[in-house]
Amino acid sequence: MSGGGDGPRSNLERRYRALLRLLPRRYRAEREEEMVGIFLAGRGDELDLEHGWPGWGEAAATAALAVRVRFRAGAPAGDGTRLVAMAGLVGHVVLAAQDVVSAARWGGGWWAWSAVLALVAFAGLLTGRVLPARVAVSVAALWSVAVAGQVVVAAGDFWPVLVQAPTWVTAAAVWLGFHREAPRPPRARWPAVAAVSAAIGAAWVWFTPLSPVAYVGAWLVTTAVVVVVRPWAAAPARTG
Amino acid sequence: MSEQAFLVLTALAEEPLHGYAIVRSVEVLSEGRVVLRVGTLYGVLDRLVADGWAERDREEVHQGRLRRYYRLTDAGVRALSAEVARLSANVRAASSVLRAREAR
Repeated sequence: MSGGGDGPRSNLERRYRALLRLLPRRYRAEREEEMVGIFLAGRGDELDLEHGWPGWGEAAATAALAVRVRFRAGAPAGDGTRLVAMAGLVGHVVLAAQDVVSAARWGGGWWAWSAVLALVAFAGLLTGRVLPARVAVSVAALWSVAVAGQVVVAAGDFWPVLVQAPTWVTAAAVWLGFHREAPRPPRARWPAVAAVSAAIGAAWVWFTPLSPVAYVGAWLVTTAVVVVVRPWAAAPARTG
Repeated sequence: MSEQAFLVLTALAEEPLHGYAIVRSVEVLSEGRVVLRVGTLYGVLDRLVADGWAERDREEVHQGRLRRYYRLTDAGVRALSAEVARLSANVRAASSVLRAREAR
């Protein structure tokens, strides 16, 4: 590799190299020099080289590339994040099933929109419709932030943050893990995971009313079923 | 195939190009409508190379900066031809509908 041995020749080059640190080290070792060359090709003005900064558009495109490279198929971070996203959505499907069954068995209402958002996101990722899935988890996460914020401000109580955190983690995992070129999750196993987990979770609240224990139980059941079924071991289908 | 990938393949169909030349060529081909960011360009190139439609050509050092050239593979030529045929069929169909509409 050539060109970078003498260090940055300007402040602008230093700033571009700092921006490229978003990319994994191995990727930078391959591409940094040619990328810096393109960045600087259109910016030869002395004043610009001294005081200029990478534009917002370039920074956003580089960040998007970093997400695609770091969370690509086969990369541990990518596969792990997609597993967290799918397991998180299954957990929300279980919670929705618990809500419905609890309302039927013990009375009270249930949040239909929450169930719809979880199902839309789950089905969207399984069928390669990433945009509806992203919109659904984003709406759920924003709503969840509002609910938690309201309780924290009104009561000074921080437990809602713990309760809502899985929604935020799931939304972040969907956004990071299911970028444009991410592999589609294996269809054969995830619906089975969701069906079994939801059935167990629903049976739980049929016999005992909803409680913090049932909430924690939903996540324990989801985790146990995911570990037993091992959906990550099935061959994924590529998107696009 | 995305419009960006289509334009990059078209740019490379003429001759092997380095990254900055691809950006300029795509801008000209699209009459200024598509200006590739560097991050976007490398996302497209990574995908084209992974699919076997483009590959690395030679490297040069220009004014102390590395320039790596990329060229189209035979599979890339076939993919571009297939996409051109698909788009042409769409254009013919749309033109036919519009002509019929104007004739009414």
